[in-house]
Amino acid sequence: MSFTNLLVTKRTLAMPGLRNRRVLLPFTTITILLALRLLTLCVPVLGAAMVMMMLDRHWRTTFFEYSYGGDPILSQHLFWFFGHPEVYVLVIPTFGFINQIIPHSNTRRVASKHHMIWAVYVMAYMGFVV
Amino acid sequence: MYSTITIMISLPATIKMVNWTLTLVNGALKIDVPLLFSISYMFFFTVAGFTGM
Repeated sequence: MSFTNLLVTKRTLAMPGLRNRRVLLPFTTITILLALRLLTLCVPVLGAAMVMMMLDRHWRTTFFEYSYGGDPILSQHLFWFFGHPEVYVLVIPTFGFINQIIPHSNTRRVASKHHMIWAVYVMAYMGFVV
Repeated sequence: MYSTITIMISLPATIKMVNWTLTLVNGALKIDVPLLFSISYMFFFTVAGFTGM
């Protein structure tokens, strides 16, 4: 609910009037939105796995029960489809915070914003595998 | 596949760390708490990357 709220807020309220120009959002905002997109992709899988586990425990389904034809490894696969991107959900907004803290007590600002944005996007997409 | 992408993901991380390190080295620093926090973050991120590899 909260990350859907933040994504819709960005879509409707961020930079009104500049939406079709070639203006980049601030780097911290980009990283937070990227983490929210990762969350929207990976958290529902965990929710489905939790519901399946609850059905197994309380309502006699056999999704994960080997003796009734279920697959216990499916439980681990579903969990790690959430668990691998979760690392990057946590670390990618922190990249944005550090990127904003470093010029604060420095005479220089962090150069090559496009490369930094490319780097966080690549890390986010690869984070679904690693 | 898994190990290949594990190695490949170190490339953008290295780009970010080198960019931040060069920004810190080339500028004149004012040592305050946010700077110390970010330096400790970079240190622990590097150590975690090495142990992960």
